[in-house]
Amino acid sequence: MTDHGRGAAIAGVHTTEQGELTGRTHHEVLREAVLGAVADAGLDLADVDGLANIRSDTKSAAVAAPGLWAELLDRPLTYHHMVDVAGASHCASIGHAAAHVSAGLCDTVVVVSGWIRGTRREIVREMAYMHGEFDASWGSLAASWFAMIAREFMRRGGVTSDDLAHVAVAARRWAALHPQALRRKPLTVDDVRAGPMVADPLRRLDCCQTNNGAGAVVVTTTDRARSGPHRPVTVLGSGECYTRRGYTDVTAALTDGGAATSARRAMDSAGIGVGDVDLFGLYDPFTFMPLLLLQEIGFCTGAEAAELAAAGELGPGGRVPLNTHGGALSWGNSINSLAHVIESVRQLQGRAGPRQVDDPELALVHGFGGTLNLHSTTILAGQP
Amino acid sequence: MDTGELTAGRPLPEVGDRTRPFWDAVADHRLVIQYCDACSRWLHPPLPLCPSCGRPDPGWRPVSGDGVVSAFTVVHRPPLPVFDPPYVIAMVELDDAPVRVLSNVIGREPSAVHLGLPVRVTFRAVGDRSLYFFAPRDGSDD
Repeated sequence: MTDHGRGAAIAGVHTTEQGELTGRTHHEVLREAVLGAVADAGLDLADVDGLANIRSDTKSAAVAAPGLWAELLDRPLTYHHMVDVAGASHCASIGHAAAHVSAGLCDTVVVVSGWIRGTRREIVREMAYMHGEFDASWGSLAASWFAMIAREFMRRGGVTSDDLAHVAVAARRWAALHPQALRRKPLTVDDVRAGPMVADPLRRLDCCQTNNGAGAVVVTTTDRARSGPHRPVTVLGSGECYTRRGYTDVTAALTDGGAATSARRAMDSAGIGVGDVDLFGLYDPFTFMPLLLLQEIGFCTGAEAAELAAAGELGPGGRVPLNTHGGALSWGNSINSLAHVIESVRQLQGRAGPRQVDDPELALVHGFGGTLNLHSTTILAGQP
Repeated sequence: MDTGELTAGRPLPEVGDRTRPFWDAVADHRLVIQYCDACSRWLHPPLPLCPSCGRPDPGWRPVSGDGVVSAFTVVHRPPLPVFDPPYVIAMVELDDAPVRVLSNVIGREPSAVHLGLPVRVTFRAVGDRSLYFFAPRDGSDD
């Protein structure tokens, strides 16, 4: 992004354990993420201006998130923002936090995400009402929306169910190298194919699981990041695009260009092209999504993305390292695309352990919300 | 949540004032779509104002309920037990209005549903409410 000020960088990250997390509470895991990321950055809570990406628990202004968190962190906060764009909020928050730090509005912001959720029935019931009157009464929910998009994407691009299975296999191979990942058992294309159908063409292993957990990212001035324990990761560019409401006309995602616009704006603001990117973090609640997003961001066609997947190029040792933590598909989906941001930071800092890609310099992370109607993209650059 | 009810286990969100004419028509076994007379613009799902002229709460216009399947999936693992798999969730592009309506295609084996299938609206009681569904049109066997 055009640097009008001091420059902003990511100095630290944290992810909590992932899973059911029985016995732990919502606010406690979020607090762990905040404190963990601050410590990872070599900073103290006293250095933090405020939080971003924490939604208020209720509609009551009296207990809005920054007031509650001032109490939970036992200190006044001098900054807060919440970008109300569902799953696109994570990358958008990184971009907004970086712009605000760069402009001098604040010095240090913790972008946080996560949850301890209710039971599946509670979640479904809540979602059914949130989605309004024209969707849930017919037995529609996330998997069926995305199944309709997947069918159209596959039909138009000649992409097969086996191609999708290869994306699940690549994610699992990466996850096997991550100690926090939810699903680590080796997986084959036959395993994916043998799984029960959820909503045609998506089988069980084409879908991520919902799990509990949290994560956080510290965005601060480049100077402060330089004095921390890790190599700073510059927030080089950011883009957003919002096209429509996210239900009913779901296959509009294939023609409305929202993902492409968001990614182009991010790359333009960073002054890079898609060919410069060394590492991709493309939000993957379903296997076909990374293939569709590789197409939308202009890296290749959907058919070529499918060929890359089938040739194993998206997995460890491949030419196009993608979602190297294992993605929503195998690492977990508690923090949506913030997990992809955190993994990209670890890769660019050279501390991804057995998953480490050779000297990556530029990462592109793309998140989305709803049914691909809300998009945001972040470009991250490592520092030598 | 205080915004809805579960009737026979099926989520049936409470109807707000804004969309009451739509659901009143459904209770009467008619399908209407939001329509701005001033702009000749169809809107679905309904919006609080017409994006062309800004007029709040555009009116409603009847449609025949004929359309074609423009996208679909067969659900095998439903979100709630009340739904009986396998069933088809489809987007139906209406003949009379350039909008897509999400519903189930009933009255045909899921494996026989395909893109472009001509369908017609049909109504079923769910508890004390009515819901709209779509079924293949008489004589359509492809």
